[in-house]
Amino acid sequence: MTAPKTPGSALSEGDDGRDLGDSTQARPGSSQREHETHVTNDSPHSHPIEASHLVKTYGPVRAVDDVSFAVHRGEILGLLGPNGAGKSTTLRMLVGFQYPDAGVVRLQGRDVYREGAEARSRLGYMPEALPLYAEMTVRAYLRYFASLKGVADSGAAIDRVVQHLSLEDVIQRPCGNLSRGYRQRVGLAQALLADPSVLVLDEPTSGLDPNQIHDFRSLIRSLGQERSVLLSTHILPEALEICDRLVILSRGRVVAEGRPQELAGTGSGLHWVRLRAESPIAPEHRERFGLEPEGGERDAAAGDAASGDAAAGDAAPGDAASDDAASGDAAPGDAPRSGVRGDGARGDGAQVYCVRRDLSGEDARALLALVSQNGWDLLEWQTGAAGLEAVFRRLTLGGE
Amino acid sequence: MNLGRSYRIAMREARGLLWSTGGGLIVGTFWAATGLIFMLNLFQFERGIRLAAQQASKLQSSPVGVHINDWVVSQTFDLTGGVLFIFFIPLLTMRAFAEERRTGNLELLMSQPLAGSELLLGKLAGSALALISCLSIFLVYGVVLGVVSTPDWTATAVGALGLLLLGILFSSIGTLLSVLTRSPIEAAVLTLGVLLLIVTGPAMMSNGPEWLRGMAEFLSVEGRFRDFSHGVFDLSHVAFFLGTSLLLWAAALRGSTSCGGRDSAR
Repeated sequence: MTAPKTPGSALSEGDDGRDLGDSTQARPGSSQREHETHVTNDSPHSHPIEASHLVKTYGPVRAVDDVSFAVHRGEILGLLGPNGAGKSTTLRMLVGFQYPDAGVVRLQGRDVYREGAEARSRLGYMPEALPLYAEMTVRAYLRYFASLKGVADSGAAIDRVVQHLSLEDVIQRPCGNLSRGYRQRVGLAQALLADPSVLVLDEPTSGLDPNQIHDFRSLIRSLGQERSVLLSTHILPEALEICDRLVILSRGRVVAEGRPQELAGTGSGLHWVRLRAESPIAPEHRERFGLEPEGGERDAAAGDAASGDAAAGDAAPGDAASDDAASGDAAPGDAPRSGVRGDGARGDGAQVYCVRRDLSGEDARALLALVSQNGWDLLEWQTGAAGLEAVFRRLTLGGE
Repeated sequence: MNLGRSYRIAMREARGLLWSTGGGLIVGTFWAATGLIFMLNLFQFERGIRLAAQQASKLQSSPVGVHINDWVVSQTFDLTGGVLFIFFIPLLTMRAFAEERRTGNLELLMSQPLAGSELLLGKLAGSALALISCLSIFLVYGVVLGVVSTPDWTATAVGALGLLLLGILFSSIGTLLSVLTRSPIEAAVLTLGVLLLIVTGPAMMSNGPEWLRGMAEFLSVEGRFRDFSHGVFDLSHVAFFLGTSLLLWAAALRGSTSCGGRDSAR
């Protein structure tokens, strides 16, 4: 893992041909063999996408500031950053739409500005704006782009992508009449027409409903098994779910780079812990670990003094069930506990506490030991997305 | 350079221009306007013939020559090239790059394995195709001319060539300005201003000193076009129109592929 890093740290790695980062390790679902065998004849040692020292300014604004990274073969790399971080500008320079003020982009080892047409011949690009010619039918649109890409058998290529992306129902429909989901698919179909080895997707799931997002992510994952994919996003769960490796941009600079789980665990990542204690937790422990009674202090106090019959009258059995179910710890067949209050306090004096803060490794171990010593029920313990969110916020907001 | 790709871009461009609602309105308006000009000139011609005949009968002499090329052909070409084109060409070319940039299609086009010259040639050829399609109405006028009179077909063909060359020059100016702007409206207004300046500028310069008058005469697009519309074929005029158009294309190519970005306008 290379994150977090200083902006210049990726540059030397890219320049001398070594791996940028340590993510040559395959993600689940792909194999090391794929990384080794998915090599074109262009240049066996080159990365499918390699950006070094990219700079782009708009007037006084430095939109992209010395950005360097590389996408490895058979890898899905996520370009992560808040809005305005420079993701789209970086992608536009990668695909040759904009010239950088400084820096070089190589696609399959070819300079995208000096050998533009050749460099882009194995590239599929789906811009965020999803431009379609409204008056053209989907088939005419795909035929047009197949001809621009120089696809030899455009009919077969169109049939292939139409089948792959389930566009059969709309193939004769004008692009202007398509729903957002279909527009997205047509955009991706266009990108896949020439069977590219490199795919660049700018915010590919933006504007989709949850079902479409799920389908699209699955699709991107499957595409990533055969191709190198670079996608930009600001959606953290998406980055975690799809990407093998992440490059985090903030204010035009690379501020971190690494595998999602590693980035999530970087430094003192945010922890999300829920536990249930039979008796009130001592103030010094609560202060050290940031243990807050779920439902607030008043309820904790109430819980402290609660008599079982008083609380039991307030509680709905379903509340207890959902309490456990939400935590994900409820064993199949667990009966709802009649004495548990919905707001976290139990009629028998038990109270649910939660932690949502940065915990050092030492504190995390100490908290676990405390849970074990006191016999508290550990309901939930998460770092993953929560950890990545903390890292993301810290890096992109300038620390918190 | 792959001319096949430029051809496909040109065909799509022309179809997009002509088959869209906005394009249909523009073409319809152009046809209506040229039709009106042609018909009014034809009525004038018919009136001229009647007056000449009346005068001849009064004077008991042969009628004064009233030729359809002077009364109808030249007048229609002059008004179309000198007035209608100034308002029509900006509407035709404003979409070429500015609209594509606004919708994001330019971004997608430039990510294709295309050379900038292929894209530009396709766009220019598309505008030229659309222009030729619009001017095709003049074939109908030609038939009408043949029915009502016996025009000088060579002079008419020279006039039509002049109209085409002027249209290509104005389209090149419009395309260049479309490259340099982001909004189609901005491109159209700029093109309109520049075309007005080109048409009226030399007339204003002709009041100046000798050297300025000489320059005005050389730069006078309208003066050269008038020669064509009156049936005078001058190779230097052809070279002027084509040479200037080529220079503008080169500038447009440079504008679209350099100046701090393959896409120079932000």
